[in-house]
Amino acid sequence: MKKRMNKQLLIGITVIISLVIIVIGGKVYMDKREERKAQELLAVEKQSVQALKNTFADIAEVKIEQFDRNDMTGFYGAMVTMTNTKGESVYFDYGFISQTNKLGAYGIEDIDIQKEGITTRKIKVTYSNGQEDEI
Amino acid sequence: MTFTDEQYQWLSDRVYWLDPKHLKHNTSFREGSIKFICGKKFKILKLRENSKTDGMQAMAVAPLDEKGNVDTSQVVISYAGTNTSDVKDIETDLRTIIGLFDGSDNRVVSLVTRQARFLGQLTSATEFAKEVKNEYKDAEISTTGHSLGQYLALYVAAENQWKNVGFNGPDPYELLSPEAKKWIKENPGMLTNYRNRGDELIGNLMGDGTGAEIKISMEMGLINPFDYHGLDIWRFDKYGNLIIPENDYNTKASIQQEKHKAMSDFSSHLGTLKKWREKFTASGGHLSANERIYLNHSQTKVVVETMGRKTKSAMEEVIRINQSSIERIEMNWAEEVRRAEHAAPSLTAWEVKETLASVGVTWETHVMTPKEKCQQRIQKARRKGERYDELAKEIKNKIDDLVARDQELANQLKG
Repeated sequence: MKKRMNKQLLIGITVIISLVIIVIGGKVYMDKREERKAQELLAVEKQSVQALKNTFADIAEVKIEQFDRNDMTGFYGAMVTMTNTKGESVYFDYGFISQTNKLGAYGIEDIDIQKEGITTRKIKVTYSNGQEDEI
Repeated sequence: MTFTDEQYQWLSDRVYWLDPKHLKHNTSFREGSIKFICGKKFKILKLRENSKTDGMQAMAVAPLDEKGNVDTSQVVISYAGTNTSDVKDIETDLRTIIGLFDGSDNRVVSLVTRQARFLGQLTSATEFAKEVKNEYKDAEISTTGHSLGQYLALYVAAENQWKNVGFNGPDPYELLSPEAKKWIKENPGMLTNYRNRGDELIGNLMGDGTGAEIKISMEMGLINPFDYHGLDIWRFDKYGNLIIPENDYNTKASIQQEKHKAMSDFSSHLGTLKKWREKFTASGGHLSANERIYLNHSQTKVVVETMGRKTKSAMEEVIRINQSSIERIEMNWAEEVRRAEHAAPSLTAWEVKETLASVGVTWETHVMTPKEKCQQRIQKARRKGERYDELAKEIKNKIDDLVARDQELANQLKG
């Protein structure tokens, strides 16, 4: 009788330990996946700043306020504050797909600051996660 | 002016960002705001965001001309597709598109009636289109969308007899009115639904009753099934035309694309002529003799050109079919001779041929004559296409001649 009790206890403990392992493992896996996703998104975000430089002239600084992926279409969308070399700023949206080196779409909020052209000099960049960079 | 496939693609994506899920983005999508999309500036004329009720999002835009004035003679309505985090979108997918399960169409389970499939997003989409139509009465309207968005866009276009270019959409044919079904039949090529061969999960659902489908093999290999449904898989040439990769599967798609483009140019040319006619008679007067000739000739030219383009794409098909028949004919002959030789191993090759000839089977009758027939067909198809070209050229010369002679008409056309 005692032996059977012990056996049941053993099975119970095994089940509980397995469950704990699955839950923790799953959590670690999900976290890692989230992290990988965030890294991929950041890589595209960096790429999009290059596209921004290929689209507008006289940029001095950009601050990306938000960068998202539309999971249904695979397109990316950003909200950005862009400052030109005269120190004037404009806040607008842009759309990006990773296969191109120019912006496919953007909102025109101030035509004087959003001057079409190319910026070749290095600009100061703040990404949506707060990280700073020069591109 | 017509819009490019690539512009339609971007408009199909942009409309998704109206969803409150993309909190910061919606602030930049306002009625009256200007958007740059693939080389062209557009003004947002009208927006609809229904996430609190049925989950539909729609946007109507018109291009700006070179002077920066909005040109409302051309309006595009784009509809957003499913947002997987939006339960109402998924509910629409199941109820409206798949009809889960509308008993009227021989489905096993019947949870909703045919009537219920129209409720929600389909009704909202129709209402939005109606409002745009009433506000911009003279506009040539077209629709676009991706996925569920293209489903709505196809439905609205067919019911209003508008042009549509969209992506990865299930087909709404079942729900169309008899008038819309008739119009689709009489105007093939006005609706274009670019579909990915591998997109079996969503985009290729519900068949192709509208005939809008251009199904393309993108040679993507084995990947996550949802990736086939993406809008970012499509590539475009420098003119904004969707690129169909060259492979055996895509021959049909290439021909269809050419036919659809011919049809869409045709309708936009007719629209331009209609505007000329209005302009000529705007001063209250009747058409002058030369104006009438100009319009009639231009109209004929458009018809002839369209026929020419259609004939050419049909010709390509004829050539392809005949060329493969020629190959087959030669293969069959080789096979026939081999079999005869095998059946009578004691005879020499010459004797085999003689025996076959005695029953009327010779290289001439079985290869030469059919091959010639195929080649004749190819020639005939080629000549037909050329005749349309000549005719169009002839008409164009006559029009140019007329404009050169009539100074007043020339000025009107310039203005």
